[in-house]
Amino acid sequence: MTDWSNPEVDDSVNVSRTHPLVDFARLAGGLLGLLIVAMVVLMLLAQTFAKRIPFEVERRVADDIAERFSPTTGPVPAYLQRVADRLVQAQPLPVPMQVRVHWQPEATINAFATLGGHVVVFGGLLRDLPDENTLAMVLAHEIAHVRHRHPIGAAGRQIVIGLGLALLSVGSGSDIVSGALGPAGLVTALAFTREQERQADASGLDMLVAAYGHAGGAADTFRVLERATRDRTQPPAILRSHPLDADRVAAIDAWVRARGFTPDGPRTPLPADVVAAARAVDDASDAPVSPH
Amino acid sequence: MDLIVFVALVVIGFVAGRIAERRHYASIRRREAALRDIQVFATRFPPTLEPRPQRLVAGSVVVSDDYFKRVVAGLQQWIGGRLRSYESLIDRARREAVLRMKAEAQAFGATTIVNVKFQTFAVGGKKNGSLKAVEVLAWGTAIGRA
Repeated sequence: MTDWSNPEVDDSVNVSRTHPLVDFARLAGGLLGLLIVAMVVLMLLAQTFAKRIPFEVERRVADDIAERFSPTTGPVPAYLQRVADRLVQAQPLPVPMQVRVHWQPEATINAFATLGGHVVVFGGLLRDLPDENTLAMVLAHEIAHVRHRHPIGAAGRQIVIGLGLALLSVGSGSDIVSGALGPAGLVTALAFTREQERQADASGLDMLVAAYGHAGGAADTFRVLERATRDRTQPPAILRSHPLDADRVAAIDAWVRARGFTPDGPRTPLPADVVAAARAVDDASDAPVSPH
Repeated sequence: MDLIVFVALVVIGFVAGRIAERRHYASIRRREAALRDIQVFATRFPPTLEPRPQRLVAGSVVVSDDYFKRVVAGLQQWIGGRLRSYESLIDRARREAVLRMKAEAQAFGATTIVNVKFQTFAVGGKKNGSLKAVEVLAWGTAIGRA
């Protein structure tokens, strides 16, 4: 038995030398990267193909929720609708697109466009606008969103994100889906990209000039928004969906020059009863400011 | 909420699994050195054919994975390849089984074990969430002193 021996040898041949965390990071990182790529591709596809959804279908979905907005009757909504109609008449929307303007008597300094051609203007914004031309720029911007089918594209994008997160069984995924599809989503959650906002600014300016013959009020609109947001801390420009208001003023001026528009002209005042109604809106000093 | 629970389980699995593994390997190396003089043969025949006291000795270990290892293995399944996170687990179980078998042989007064075989057995069901563990069994014939 003394012939046999049992020397010590390397005992680690059966075990991987890779640190388990490195292994984990490589696998999880790869999977996450793949998911992100898939998500971005799906988002772009959703955004592209959402525009192919007929406007009638979009409106049928949106009309159920539109009842939640304030009625379109009364002096202020009727006036807002008249201004919008003037803009649309000057630069018609493709058939069968229609814009319906709602007035939300709240102090919020905001306006937004959502599915089905519904545009909502808040009392706080109307109160701060000096004349009809600036209001027309706001409405032209929102109508441009509708013209370029931005709301349905944003909704499609959001549904894809929500479904993707739901697949990962992250609880918030289904919330985002129902948020984008449900009533609340149509009011608040639709986020446009900065590029879409820029497009809406440019296209809105065209519409304003077509209707009023000059670009007066276009830049003022963003000065009003700038004043309203000046006292608040702003995220840096790159993180914001909307271009900075100062940048938007500069962009408007540049477009006016480039396209040879008349920079200003006679302004139309706001009707007295509209001004009175806007002033009557409760002034909550810390009303949220989120211009759309 | 799901995500927080998941991350917590992964972190617990990783930290606890790491500590347990480091300690176990230290213990394995110490005992392997101590039991080095007991020699283990896969051959079926004893080195000498003179009659000696003999006895069947066995060592058995049941190990379970941790959540971290399971997640890493789960991710690996998507692309295939080595399940690195399980390799150390099975390596530890196999060496521990041999050590227990050797300890039994030592108690018998043997310095040689022949005809050593290994067997593994999956403990726990295939259903999701059921216990996932593996038994590693080593056995052989211990040859005592004349």
